[in-house]
This record gives sequence, C-alpha cells and structure tokens, in this order.
Amino acid sequence: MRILLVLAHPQPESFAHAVQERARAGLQRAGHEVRLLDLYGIGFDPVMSEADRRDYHTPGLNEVRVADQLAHLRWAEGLVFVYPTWWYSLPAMLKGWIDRVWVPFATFELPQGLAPVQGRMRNIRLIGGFSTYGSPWWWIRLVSGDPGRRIVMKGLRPLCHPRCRSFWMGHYRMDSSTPASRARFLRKVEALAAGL
Amino acid sequence: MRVLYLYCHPVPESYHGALRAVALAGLARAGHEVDLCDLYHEGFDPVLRAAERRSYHDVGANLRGLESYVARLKRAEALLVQFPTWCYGAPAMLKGFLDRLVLPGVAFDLSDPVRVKPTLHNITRLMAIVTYGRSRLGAWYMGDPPRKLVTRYLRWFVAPSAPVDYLALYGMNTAGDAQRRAFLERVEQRLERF
Repeated sequence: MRILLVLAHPQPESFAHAVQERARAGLQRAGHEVRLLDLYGIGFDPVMSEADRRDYHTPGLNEVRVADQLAHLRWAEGLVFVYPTWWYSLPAMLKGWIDRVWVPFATFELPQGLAPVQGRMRNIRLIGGFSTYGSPWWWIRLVSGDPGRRIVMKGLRPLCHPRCRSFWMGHYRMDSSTPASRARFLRKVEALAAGL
Repeated sequence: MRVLYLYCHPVPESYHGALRAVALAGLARAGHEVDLCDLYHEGFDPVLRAAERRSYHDVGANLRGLESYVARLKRAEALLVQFPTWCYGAPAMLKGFLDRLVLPGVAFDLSDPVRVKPTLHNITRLMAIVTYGRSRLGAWYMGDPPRKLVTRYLRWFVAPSAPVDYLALYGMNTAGDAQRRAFLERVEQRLERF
C-alpha cells in the first residue's frame, strides 16, 4: 500500500519525530511504500489566506495553490498522522493543512441541505494517527472530546473509501512520562504499524 | 471594561465582517473600551516554531517576540473571540494564536507541576461569536470542538467566576437571509448589554 505519513512537529529531536521513524520502520517492514510529509520540514503555510478563502468554493481554482499537496493525497492509499496534541487539538500547522488542502469538489462534494457529505478520496482505504497528550486518557475522552482525533476519524474518514480501515494510538500523560513509558509506546507504534 | 476582541477571518466583506461591525457598534454603545486584535490584518504568524517550542517552559524567555500580545492579554478585563468553523474546528490562525500565547508564566503557573494554576484572572468575562456550516446536530456528532474550545478550554484560564456567553449560528450552509439577519441582531443586542 502507498502510505502518506503526515508529520507536524517543529523539533527534529522531538518524541513525535521518533514516533514517525518507528511508524515508518514498521510500515516498511510490512511491505508498504511510505512517503513522509513533514509539514514543518517543507515549510508549509497553514494560513488560509484571503485569496484561498475567496477561491474556496470554486472548483479547480481552489486547488491551484495546494496542487502539490492534493497530488500527495491522490497518490496515497493510506493516510497516517503523527502530531502532538497541543491544547486539546491539532497543532495549527496540521489544522491549517486540513483547512487548506481538503477543499470541496477535490476531496468532497458540498452537501446539499442536511445530506451527509459525499467523499471523493476513495483511493484512501486506511486512516489513523499517533498522538501524544498531556492529560490522562479519561480527561481527553470525557472532557476535552479529543477534537484532533475526531477531526481525523469523523471528519476526514467519511471522505475516504467507504470501507476505509482506521486506527488510533495515543501516549497520554506525556508530562509525567518516563523513558520506559516512551520506549514502550515506541515499540507499540512499530508493532501496530507493522501489522497494518 | 477593556475588551480584547480576538477576531479571525481573512475576508473583510464576509458575513463575519458584518458580525464584527454590529459587535463593535454594540460594545461602543455600552461604553466599553475595545482592543481589536484582527489576527489576519495584523499578519499574526500562527506557527509555533522549533526555537519557541524549545524555550516554551522557560518563563520569561518564552515571551520573546510575543511581548505586545502578552501585554494585550494581561490588560484585558474581558475576552471576545470571533471565528468561523472550518473543517469542524477553529481556523489554524486562531489555533496557532493559542499554541503560541497560552504559555507558562502568561496563562498558567507551572511552578508546581502537580497543581497547574490558571493565571488569566484579569479576564472576568468571556464571550464568543462562532459560525458553523453544518447543523447543531452535525457539530454535536463531531464533539463540537469550537464550543469546547471556548466553554471548557479558554474557560479554565480566566477568572473562575467569569460568565461565558457563546453565541453561535449553526447551519450556515443552509441558512437564509432571515436567519443571518436574526443572528446579527442577536449579536448586537447581546453586546449592547455586555
């Protein structure tokens, strides 16, 4: 499978980068072709500009400034996100990538009235993510609602193939994590990736 | 009251521009002093970069380059946030403002990591003006990230007694002129009594 691994963390020495490396190693071991999209690395601009917004609802025109990113999405059969949860949600870098790249007509048909969204990313048959959280898991699930995970799993997944498989894995309580807990998490990341 | 008005929309003649005009008129009539922080117009950079991330926990040094925004947050007695819902959440521009500004030493005190204390207690009122493309039910199914951002997340940092007013227009994709006008009126009236 062709897998697009989307990474959003500014520091090369970060735990998110380690997660990405282990996920990539596992995916490659399983025989997948992996393309890393390091949003900070490529200097992606996450700000939906005035021009972007004006063109947002115009088919074709809304693809022009993000054509390279849409090409990655159309190439992919699997989509895996790696990011730290900052203040309950996606880092602005990743939120902006979704805002700007997942444009109507290219990735979904604008819903008429109350009808569900019709997705156009049927090439994607696998979606998931690895994230880190400062809070304990029950706080994330019960209080914050984990907006980052929901935007990916309930927002983007319906735009993919109807039988798109999915997974999610989080390291909670990062602020009180230990070298042992982080090493255990990295092992689980690689094992999960190798089983995809 | 000194109101910090955090405004986030790129297109001046948009519906949000109209909402802003009536909100400002309402606040002026009520005699409030408004510090309008138009993130797009001010060219705010929402990307938290490596150097800033590395100094994040370093109280004092973590403000470098952000001093003016920190001063505006500290001066405010009320906070008004306005944004559209894009892809189920707040625009990256606003999320990045929070990523960069909600810092130890500014919005919370990390000196005792077991008991993190919020410190934006100068803010004694919190209000939001938010629009959604989808219906209330659709937003609920998604966990309504914009509402949680205001009523659970920002709420935590400000004064514990601060009332929260969340003004939302759901279903913009199907809303007619009447609903849009009604929401404009609601915003103006509410802000006159702010």
